[in-house]
Amino acid sequence: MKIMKRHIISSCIGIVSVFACLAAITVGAQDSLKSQLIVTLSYFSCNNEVQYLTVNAKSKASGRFQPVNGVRIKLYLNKDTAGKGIGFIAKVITNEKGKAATNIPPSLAQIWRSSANHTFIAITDKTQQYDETNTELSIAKARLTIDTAADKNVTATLNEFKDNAWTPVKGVDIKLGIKRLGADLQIGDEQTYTTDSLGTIRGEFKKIGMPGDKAGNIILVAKVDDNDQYGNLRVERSEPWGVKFVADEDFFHRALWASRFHSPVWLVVIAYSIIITVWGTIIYLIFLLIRIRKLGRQAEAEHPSAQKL
Amino acid sequence: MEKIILTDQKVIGDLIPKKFSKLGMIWTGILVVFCLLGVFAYYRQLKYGLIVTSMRDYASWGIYISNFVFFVAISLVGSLITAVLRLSGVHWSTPLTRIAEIIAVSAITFASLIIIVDMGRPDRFYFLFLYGRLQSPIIWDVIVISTYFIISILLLYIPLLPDLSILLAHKERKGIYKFYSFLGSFWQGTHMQFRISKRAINILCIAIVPVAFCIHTVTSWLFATTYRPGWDSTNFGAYFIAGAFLAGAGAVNVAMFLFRKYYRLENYITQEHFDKMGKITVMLGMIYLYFNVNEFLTPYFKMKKPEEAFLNSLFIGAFAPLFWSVIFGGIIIPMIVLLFKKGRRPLPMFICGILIVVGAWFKRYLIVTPTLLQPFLPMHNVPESYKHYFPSWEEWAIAGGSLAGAMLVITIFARFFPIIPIQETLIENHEKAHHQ
Repeated sequence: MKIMKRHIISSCIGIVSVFACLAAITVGAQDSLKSQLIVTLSYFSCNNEVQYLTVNAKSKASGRFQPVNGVRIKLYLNKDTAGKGIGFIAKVITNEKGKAATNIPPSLAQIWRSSANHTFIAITDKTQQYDETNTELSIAKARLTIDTAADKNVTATLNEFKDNAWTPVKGVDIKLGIKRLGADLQIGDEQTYTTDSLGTIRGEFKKIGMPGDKAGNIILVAKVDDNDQYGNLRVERSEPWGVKFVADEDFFHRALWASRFHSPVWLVVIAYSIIITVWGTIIYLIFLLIRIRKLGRQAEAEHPSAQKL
Repeated sequence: MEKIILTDQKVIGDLIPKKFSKLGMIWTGILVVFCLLGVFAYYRQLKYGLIVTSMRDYASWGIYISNFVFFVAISLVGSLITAVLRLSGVHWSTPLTRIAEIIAVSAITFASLIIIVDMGRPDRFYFLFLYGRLQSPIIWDVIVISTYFIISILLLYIPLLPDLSILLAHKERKGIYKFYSFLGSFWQGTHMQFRISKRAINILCIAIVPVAFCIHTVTSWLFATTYRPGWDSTNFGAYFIAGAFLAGAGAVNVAMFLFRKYYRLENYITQEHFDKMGKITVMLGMIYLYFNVNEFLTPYFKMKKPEEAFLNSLFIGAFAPLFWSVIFGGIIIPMIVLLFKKGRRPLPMFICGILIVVGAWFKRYLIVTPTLLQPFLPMHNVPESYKHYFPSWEEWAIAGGSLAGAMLVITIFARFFPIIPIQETLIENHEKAHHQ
């Protein structure tokens, strides 16, 4: 009986010890349980002049990706043999949409010119919520140009910098569009055009009657979107192919519904004539009051003991 | 009828302001309580916003605007009694001029205040002056109200100067004496001073008439320049002026009776004054009734579809009891009573005056609210509370407080200043004695 009791007690102690160990492991594991931060990099080149990077930080929460605000990210151009970034671009902080952007500074021009291919590196440090991350993006330098013909055809050419020369690139999708306020509107029926062996695409401008600026200018756009090798390239060109915009300036004419400084002349004349007449009369009355007061003071000075009426 | 000629000392003794009696203290206390209640309600409105009112998207003007229009209407009485009658060469109205003027000043003061109460952001009141558009009738109203206020103050103050001098000669040199001294110690009663003050009063009487007409016309245009059922009328300016004259005359009738009774002014505000004011009230009532017929009969005859709901709500709908009470109780019945000589005695005049003033207040309510609740486009998918309007307790308290405030101003004025012009009464007595 005693032996049986000992067995039961030993078993209980054993079970409790196992649960205690499992609990300790779970607590320890929870301490190191952090959300995964995903940082993505994008490269943009606009009119072959301005190169910039955008960074996007997101993390999975409640079963879906959410933008992460306030992530500090260090950006570098190229890396050394040990994999560490060498050309410091900038340190950026993501906004409430989890996004940040920066230009490639002029101080890195020499490194930029030294090679046809580059690698951008985005590094985040370890924080209480996230582990450190290291994201890379490799791109090949490319140049996109846009040209037009008198018959309202648009031509775009894509060249890659290779062996110290600009070489046409075949088989890349390019979009042709018209720059509008919200987004770009395609110029014809095709969504994208693929470059031929000369790196060229050709599209017909079909949006006749598109409103332009005061001179009828519209901005044509050729762009490569999110290409694995070349990133995002965009080039713009202004052409007088739109309809001249004539501003409706009725609001600025003198009218009853216009702004306060555009009252109709007849109203201004009548209103101010009335105001001046009436307030002129009031001022005259106040002047009369002052005269009454002066006369009283004079009379008081001349006859101090005179009884008032 | 031979008139009694009173001695100067008797006149001065009768008309010089006296301390409040027990009844006067109770009356003032009640008015102060109402004012404080209004202030508390306004504090709540400032704290929580206009949500404490019952005004919503459709009935966005409530009793504050009704009250504003009512005060503007009442204020016209100053120009009626003082200016119109004086310019017409009527002398019997002399004892009533100051009553009329203080009613006008207090009414126009509270008209200005109540419009600020109606503003959701009163701290931005000065924006009206900084950013106002000359094309807006609201700016015309701001300009014309401030002008009318100044002219009314001058018309109250300048004829008061000789009386201030009398007060200074008969009051002890303490307390209020300094205030009298500040206001009128320079009045020596010289020939030149009388001449200049007479000229100033004549100019004021001429100036106040068009300004008074402007204030009522412009206030009516706040409605008539808006395309809504019941407001879209070319008749509105004249309709408002006629209504304002009647409301003002009613207010004077009430004030005459109360001042006569409680200040024992039977020798100064006589049966003859009631009789003549009664006749004037009948004439004004007829004019106003004529404009009401114009305002409602022709739209009712045409019964345009978009206005049908509005007109029916007034004539046979939710607002019908109030509408017909106002037409009969506030215009027709007082007019019929005052047609008879017995009806123009002090007490019936007082009762008719009350009916006219109360009717005038509700008439303004009927001008504002039914129109807003009957828009051209039907109300769809809106909360139930948007479809009706009944003022919240805060609105009642503020409106009541403003009415009490206007009466308090008149009461306090009568406590410290002669409510009947002493100097003018003395001169008239001297003239009568001379003729006899």
